[in-house]
Amino acid sequence: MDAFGYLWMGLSTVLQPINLLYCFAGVFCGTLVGVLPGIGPTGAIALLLPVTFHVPPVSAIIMFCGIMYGAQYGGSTTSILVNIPGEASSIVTCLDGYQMARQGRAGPALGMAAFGSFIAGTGSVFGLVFLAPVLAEFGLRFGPPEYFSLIIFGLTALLYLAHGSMARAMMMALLGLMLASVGIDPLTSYPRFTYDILALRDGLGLVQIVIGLFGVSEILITIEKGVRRTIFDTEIKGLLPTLRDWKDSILPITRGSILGFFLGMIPGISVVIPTFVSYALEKKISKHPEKFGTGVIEGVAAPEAANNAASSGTMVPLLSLGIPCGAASALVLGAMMIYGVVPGPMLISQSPQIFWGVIGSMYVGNLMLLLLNLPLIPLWVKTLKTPYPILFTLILLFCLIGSYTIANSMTDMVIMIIFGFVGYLMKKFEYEMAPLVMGLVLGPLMEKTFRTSLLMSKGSPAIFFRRPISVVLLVLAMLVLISPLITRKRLAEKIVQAEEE
Amino acid sequence: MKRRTFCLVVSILFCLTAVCHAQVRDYPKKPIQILVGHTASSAIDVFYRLTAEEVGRTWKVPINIVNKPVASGSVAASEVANAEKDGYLLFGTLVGQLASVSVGNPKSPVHILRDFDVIEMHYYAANVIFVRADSPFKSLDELVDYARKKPGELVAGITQMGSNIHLDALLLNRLAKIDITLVHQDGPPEVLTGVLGGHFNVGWTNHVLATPQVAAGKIRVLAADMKCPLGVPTFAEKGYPIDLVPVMGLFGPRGMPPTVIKTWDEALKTMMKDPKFQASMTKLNFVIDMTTGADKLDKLLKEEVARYSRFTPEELGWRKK
Amino acid sequence: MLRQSALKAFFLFFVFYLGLHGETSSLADLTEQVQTTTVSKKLDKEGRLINDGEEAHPSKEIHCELLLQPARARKKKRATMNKDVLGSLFCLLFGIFFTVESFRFGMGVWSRPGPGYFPFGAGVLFSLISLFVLIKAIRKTDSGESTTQSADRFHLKNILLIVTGMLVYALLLKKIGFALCTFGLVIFFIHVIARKGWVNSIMTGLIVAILFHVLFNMLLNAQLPNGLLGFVLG
Repeated sequence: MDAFGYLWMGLSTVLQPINLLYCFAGVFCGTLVGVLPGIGPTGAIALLLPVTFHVPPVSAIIMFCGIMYGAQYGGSTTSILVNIPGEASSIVTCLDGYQMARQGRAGPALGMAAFGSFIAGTGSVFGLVFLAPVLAEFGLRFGPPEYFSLIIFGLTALLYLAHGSMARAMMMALLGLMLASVGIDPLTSYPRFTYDILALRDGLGLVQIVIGLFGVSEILITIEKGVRRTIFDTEIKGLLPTLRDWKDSILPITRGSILGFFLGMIPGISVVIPTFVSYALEKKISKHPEKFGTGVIEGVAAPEAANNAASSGTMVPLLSLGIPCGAASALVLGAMMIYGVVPGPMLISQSPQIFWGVIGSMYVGNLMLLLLNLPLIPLWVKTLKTPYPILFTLILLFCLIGSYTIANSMTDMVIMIIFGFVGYLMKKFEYEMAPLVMGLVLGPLMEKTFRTSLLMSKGSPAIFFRRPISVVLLVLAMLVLISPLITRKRLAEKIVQAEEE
Repeated sequence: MKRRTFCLVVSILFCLTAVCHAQVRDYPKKPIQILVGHTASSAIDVFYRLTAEEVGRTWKVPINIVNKPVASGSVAASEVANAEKDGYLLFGTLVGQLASVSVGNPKSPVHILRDFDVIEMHYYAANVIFVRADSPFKSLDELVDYARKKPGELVAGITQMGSNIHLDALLLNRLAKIDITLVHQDGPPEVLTGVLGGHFNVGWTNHVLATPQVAAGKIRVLAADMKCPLGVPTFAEKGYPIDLVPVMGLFGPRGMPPTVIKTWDEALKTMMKDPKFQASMTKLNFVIDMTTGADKLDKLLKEEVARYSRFTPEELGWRKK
Repeated sequence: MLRQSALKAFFLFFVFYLGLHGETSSLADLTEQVQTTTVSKKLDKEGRLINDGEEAHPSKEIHCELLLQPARARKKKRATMNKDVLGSLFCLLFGIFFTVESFRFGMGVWSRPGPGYFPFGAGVLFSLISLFVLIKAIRKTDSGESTTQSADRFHLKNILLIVTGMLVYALLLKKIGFALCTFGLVIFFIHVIARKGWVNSIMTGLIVAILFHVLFNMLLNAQLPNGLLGFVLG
């Protein structure tokens, strides 16, 4: 049977009523779990594991995939509505999504996030069908030096995330890097900045910091002078994306999907990085880059597409080589193993119906996500009209509980609260948060790959320049760095600036 | 008015559910909690969830798994060590981690031999050393010979500092008097990608992950630290007694009533005999070798701790090199 | 231990200074406002339309200037210490602290970079850039360009209340239990911060606590501690 034949077989498995039900249950739980910060798909799947023991393997895996997608979308919902990323992959959605909500455009934002994810998901399924075996080999070529160069390239993309002063953005990125080094050094086991506090040995934690930095600080800033009746004063302008929105978003979605899929395939790149890179790319290509951060729909559509595509991308090495890259695929791996399915190169030949069942379920899950969430948009938008005293209380409670449930640890809550205050200070002093998060995410990876590369080359930095992929990436990074210096646009800007002064 | 009725209804429901929690029996009378010092869906987590499901079903009491991977499970360990000695809060972990922190960190608030009662311990997988299928090394001896001739040239991918795999690799270097550069990765999947991609000459992982790769012809396993279904020689057979085989264990605070341990004993024995459980273990590629019974466990535990005492705190990962 | 306390002291000092700065600034603003209102009132009585003091009677204009001068002088003295300067100064000090600490971790050798290598580099860069930003900020304020606006005020009362409330929640969660803590926090937020009545707060507290318990502990099995209510909830 050819690829499409298999896919059809897979789809027909999934479309059986009972499996559709499991898919729905998964998507529903996933969305719920994604909306609550801190409880991630890991928790949900671990929770539902016993339930699925009495269920055929294909159905169970279908449910798990549903949970994964649902969680991602649920995370975006909170990012847009209350500036709290439910998942690490939804952080970037906060930047423009929340601003859109404040302008009364929460509906279109939510809608475009859903559609963008769906389109990306559809695209990546095709990518998986046709490209999986070839691509898996590509992902393997990335060793520590290639990773390092990739991150350098990603950091140069960071320069385009900056809204205001470049110097401050760089400061925040460096601060992120610095904060990321808190904890036990993985290569020498040396405790850094832990000051004998046991819980700090694992580091500060991305999710806790982000919940505090984004969510809590937003509330602190709003409440600073007093609690008003409602903060979303503007009229709710429509519940679905307009034609104009579609026109603006279709290309970003396409670019985000492709970018996300290929980046997601590289083992070890979390889904966070593709979202940042996609956002930066859109900003760089856009005709109105200065509007990013004030509520442009591309800033929501592209990262959402990217993160969905990246999740599908992480399935590539899993399904063809049996190697999980990232929490979600590790989970799916665990689940598959429980049912005696041995992922690995043999998966496709030994159990084709499981493989294509998973692919089909991913697609149906995507579709179901769309169908489930679109009617809910008016409901979500309505919640914004809740009287602010209750709303902020609930949000803060969600933050507290969410941060606790990450690892059932009180320290996480305290870290979140501290960073809530820090975020407030940052807003007052006009320092941006997105570069900080980027530094936090990239920092550990950058350090690890750098030191590992040097270990491998016995101290010679030449290793970064001897390997083809690494060299290409470094050259690209250089180009990105110098490009603004030589474009005429930048020159014009300088002239205008001089005139202003 | 509407609000008050709502409140009333909710409060009634609340009380009803509270009542339902009441049980009438000896141990266990109420839900049991097992803290697992590892993230969800790790081998330890999966095993104890399956156990909780089985045993919980027999006892008709919910057994809840709570993941507390903070500081390699040290926080969870302290919590259980200081808990009520009634057997309702237990700790499931890799014995190695607990032994390692007890031996290597003098400031550790818990000590494996002093603060815990063991309910069970079991082996489940072996650590193996492997190369890519097209590698020139066809056996462990060839690898060691080459390493002796060219010290420091070979690069091996291993897992985190202080893990069983890391210590196994250290022992190999020590016993065979070779110097293979050890590069830490986050976990077995990263080691696998590293070797398959040609970035490392050699890798270490557990046999569970290795088996499908061997079946697909992608890697060649050279040796294992325990007998496993892969059919490769053990390190001991080759003359290097490398024996840091990962062991899982279920612990409770020291001084639990003997009824608790006995009840668990019986339940676990039944569970191990259950063909359904055996089937799921086989599916997972786990090779379970469980020990229960206080005196046997005592001996086994002391042996384990002795194994870790052969390493310095730096090697175990508790102090800077 | 010393480092820990130093850090704490430093942080507390910063917050205190911030609060103080916020307070005194608003005081200056207040005085200025009073003066300007008095001035405009006088002019209005004369029945003249004033557009930025342009059409004012010359003597009245001088009067304005004289009145406003003390306020402006006060402002100028504190000009070096506006929020940009403060922010970057704090960052610089933190950067230096971080760099020094990282150095202590050990740099290692080229073939085996030590734990301090990366943080040191990041710290050095961070400190340098903060220095640069600091100098720029000082120069800008000394030239009298930026004046503090109302958005720069720090109204710390609500903020500190909320943060303290959340910290207390976090610390007591295990001991008192999730339901009770939630109940308490909701009452605190609604009554103290949003200034609603007692009945309102307590009702909301009850509903939220019960709903959350059902949602998290029962439906999602999130394993939140039960604390004091443990005997009831198991």
